[in-house]
Amino acid sequence: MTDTTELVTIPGSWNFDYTYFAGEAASRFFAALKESQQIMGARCPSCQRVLVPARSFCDACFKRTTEWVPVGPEGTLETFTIITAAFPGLPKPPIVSPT
Amino acid sequence: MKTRMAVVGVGQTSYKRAHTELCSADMIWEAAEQALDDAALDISAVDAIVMGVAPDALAGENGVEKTAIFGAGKPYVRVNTGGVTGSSAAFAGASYVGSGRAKVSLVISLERMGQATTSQQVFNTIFDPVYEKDFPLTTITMAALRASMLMRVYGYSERDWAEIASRNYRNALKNPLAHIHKDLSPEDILASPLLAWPIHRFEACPMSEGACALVIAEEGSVGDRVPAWVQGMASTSDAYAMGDRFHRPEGTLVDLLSLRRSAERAYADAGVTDARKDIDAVELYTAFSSAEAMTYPALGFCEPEDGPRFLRELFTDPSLPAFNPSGGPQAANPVSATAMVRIAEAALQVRGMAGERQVPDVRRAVATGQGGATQFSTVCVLGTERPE
Repeated sequence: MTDTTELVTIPGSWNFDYTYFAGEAASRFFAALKESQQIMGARCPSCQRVLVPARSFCDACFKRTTEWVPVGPEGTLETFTIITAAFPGLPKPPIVSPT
Repeated sequence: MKTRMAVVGVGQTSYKRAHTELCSADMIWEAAEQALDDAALDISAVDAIVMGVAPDALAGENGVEKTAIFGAGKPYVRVNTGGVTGSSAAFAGASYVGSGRAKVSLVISLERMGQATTSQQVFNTIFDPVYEKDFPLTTITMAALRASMLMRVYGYSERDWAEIASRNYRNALKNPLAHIHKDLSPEDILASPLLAWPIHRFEACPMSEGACALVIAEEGSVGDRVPAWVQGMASTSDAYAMGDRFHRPEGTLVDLLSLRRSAERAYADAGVTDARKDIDAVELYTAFSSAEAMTYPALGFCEPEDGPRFLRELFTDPSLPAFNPSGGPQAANPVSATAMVRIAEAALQVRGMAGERQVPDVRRAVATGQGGATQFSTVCVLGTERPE
């Protein structure tokens, strides 16, 4: 190839649409949130921790969760960030600074 | 480790925003050819080929590596473990050698994201669509959540993140392969726009293209080649959800359990007992400068609460290991390849072939890999001494 060869570029596009299947555990979690305003967790029968949001198995113990428990509306803010711009393909930041 | 093996060949393209002069297959070819030339081996000497490519959507080509599967008739595996793809591919290649199924393996990783006009949009599809996608959790916000927690829990400052980034850019000035060659001061970095507090633009990694390749050979095939002996290699997974990694008895989110466990296992095999003394160079997969702080305790350099003090020591005590002599991922982040680049750079340091970025008298170097919101961590220990 000589230095004068023009490099060829070919336009391309991926534009696929999807429907994601949340599964039974997440469906039940969202239903409890909507219908009884309860945040539900699932207890691991082995390590006893409550997984929030509820899931069908404990990935640390490799055990199926069996007991669902409401966890109440309070929580501890462990960490946070301040988003200053919208990210492509994601919802806009919920609060926009007045500046 | 029962089978002794060494990295005897390293190949790297340069790293830049887009290699418009190379098709995807040519990038793989260029890195592979360099690695085989470095090892003075012909493709016929290779018994197995492993390639690492992360999401196909970044390239917009499904099975982007398939056009470059050379040497018909050889076992072939492709690996995708997100950010840790490059080191996972290297470990898979090492497993071929370690199991005796190959005397020589060729491992290659490719990042072709320059073809994506909106790569950030592709990255934003890697999160769980049920609970995480609408957060919006992204590669940037997940790093920001950790950076702000490190500041609250261990007392790091925004200035610390800028100083780490500045050191990385200045190291990269000596690395001709790096994507970013800018002499940026901590002040320059703090003056760059905020992406997600406390992360500034220049504390994040660039989007880079490139390919990296390694030749891994069992002891009997090393011959008179310059080896970087594999002294230890370990890979550890963790729970998927970041929220599940708080308040565990072993540590909280920023204690990076998967990296700590990988380091413990790799160090045990390598005979590393005091990381400060036994290691001369460290190549970290830290896509954001703040993520470096999580590696200090995980790699055994200090207790978690002493991290900010260790960072100060790194800038003042020349007896401590050199961190990211290549410039690390702030200076080039070809995502699928980045974790392999860390091993490649560690190998060059051990082999005394790192050019202007060579650290004097490297006897042992450590390379890390991180992927999937730090769900996967790898640690590779390379050294001049053949393992026992």
